[in-house]
Amino acid sequence: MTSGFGESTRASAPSPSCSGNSSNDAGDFECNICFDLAQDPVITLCGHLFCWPCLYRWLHHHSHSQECPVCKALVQEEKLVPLYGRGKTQTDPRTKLYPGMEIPHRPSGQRPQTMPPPPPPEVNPFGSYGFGLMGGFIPMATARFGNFTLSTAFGGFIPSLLNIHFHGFQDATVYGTTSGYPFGFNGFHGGNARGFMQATGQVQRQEDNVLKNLLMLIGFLVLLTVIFVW
Amino acid sequence: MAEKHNIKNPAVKRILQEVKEMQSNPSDDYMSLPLEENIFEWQFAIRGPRDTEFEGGIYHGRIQLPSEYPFKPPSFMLLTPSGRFETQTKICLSISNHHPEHWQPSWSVRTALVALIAFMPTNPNGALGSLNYKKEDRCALATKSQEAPPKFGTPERQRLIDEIHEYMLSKSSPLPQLAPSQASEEQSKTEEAKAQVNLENPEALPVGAEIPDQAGDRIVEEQELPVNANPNPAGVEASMESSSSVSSNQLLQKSDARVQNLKPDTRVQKPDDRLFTLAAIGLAIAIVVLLLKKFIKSTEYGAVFMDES
Repeated sequence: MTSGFGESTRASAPSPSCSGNSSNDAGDFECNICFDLAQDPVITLCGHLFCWPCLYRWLHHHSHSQECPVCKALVQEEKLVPLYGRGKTQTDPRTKLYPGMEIPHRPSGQRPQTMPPPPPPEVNPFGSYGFGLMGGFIPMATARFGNFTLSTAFGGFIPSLLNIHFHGFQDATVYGTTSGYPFGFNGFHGGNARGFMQATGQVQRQEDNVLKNLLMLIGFLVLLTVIFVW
Repeated sequence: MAEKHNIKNPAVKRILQEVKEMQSNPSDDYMSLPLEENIFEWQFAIRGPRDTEFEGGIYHGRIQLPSEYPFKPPSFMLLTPSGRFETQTKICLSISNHHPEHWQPSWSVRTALVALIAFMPTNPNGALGSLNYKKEDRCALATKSQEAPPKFGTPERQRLIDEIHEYMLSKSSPLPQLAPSQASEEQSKTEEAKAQVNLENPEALPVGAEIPDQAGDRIVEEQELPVNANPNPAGVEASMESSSSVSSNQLLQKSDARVQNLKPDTRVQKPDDRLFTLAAIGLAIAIVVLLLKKFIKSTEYGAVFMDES
């Protein structure tokens, strides 16, 4: 009895020499079949690590179906991912796990496409065009308002004149001066000045600012129309 | 031991690895050792699960590993009468060689013993090598199993069986069911076993001091199975799957996932453009409405002019 226990104690001593795993952390890279450091490691889609020879032997010689030896998930050889460490590939046939057994090379990794190169910095093609457009608008507006202030119109036809101006028709009508709306004329003139100044002040080369200026101009025109109608 | 066996044999390497793990992480619920002369022959002992009629029992058995282990399952044979499994007969389980299609090479002797403990309270359903004794008979057999280990095999094997039996007795806790005289006998045996352990392995004490933390954690994990009232094979497999899934989750967490960073400029511009578009559409609609109003008024003014003339 005593000698038996002693023998078992001595028997456990040589165990460390059989494997190079001296700490528990090494278990993270041990094959799930041979419980040793993985040789030619491959990893399945379910995340389990095996030696390629161990897994090949299980899938092709012993298993009744293509199942993961740990969790029985479906294993497809084309979806196995090999792990390439810094160690050299062992070509010595004496170190093979299963000598005398023909095992093909493990599946190769699937390398995804590289990232496309970043696009070159964008040149703003709308800056000059927008600026030109803005410049074009200002003189037209000035001319129209000038004609309007200089012209004399019959009270009843003022909306028609304004409508004609908005549609771009030439000023071909001349009417007599009406003394009934002096205050109204002054109001229009003031509004015109303020709108013009705002448009001028916010002219910039950026597309967003150009859009903002255009919208403000349209808004001003709408306000002018509303005031005139009332 | 290593010098006597062919280290190049993958089955031998695997078995030696299991022996090393079993000795570095011992459990109170089972004990297993291979023979000196043949590493493919093991002797084991399991403790009956708690809160069952098998509680307090120490059941010895024999395991035969195939030459193609771990790709082929081992066979199990119990030597101590239990009322659940026959003795001297290979038992039929999903982890034994009766069903090689259910075997998984990632299973080991340790997992097989844990599964065997979990199978004890289950209903045999007439499986090969199973018995269905009454509860009282099973309790009596459990109590009787502590008195002496079974007699089996060669003198070397018998020494191994006796050694394992002493280990299991030293790890068992005194039970209230036992008679006072039997309890005192058990205590004396325990003391003798401890004394022998101290005499034979004085160096083992510091190692034992380091082990308790790991052993405690492991015992907590392993005791979950015996505590289950009615564990079944699916439950055992489920626990294995859950443990593997946990490990896979950890792997996923460790890996770095690439998240593409979207350009903030692009994000900011889109809502502004949409706002401007909506504003422009609104303004256009307003202009159209106003033009319609003016058209109507001009018609009325024309009519008034005609009336005056």
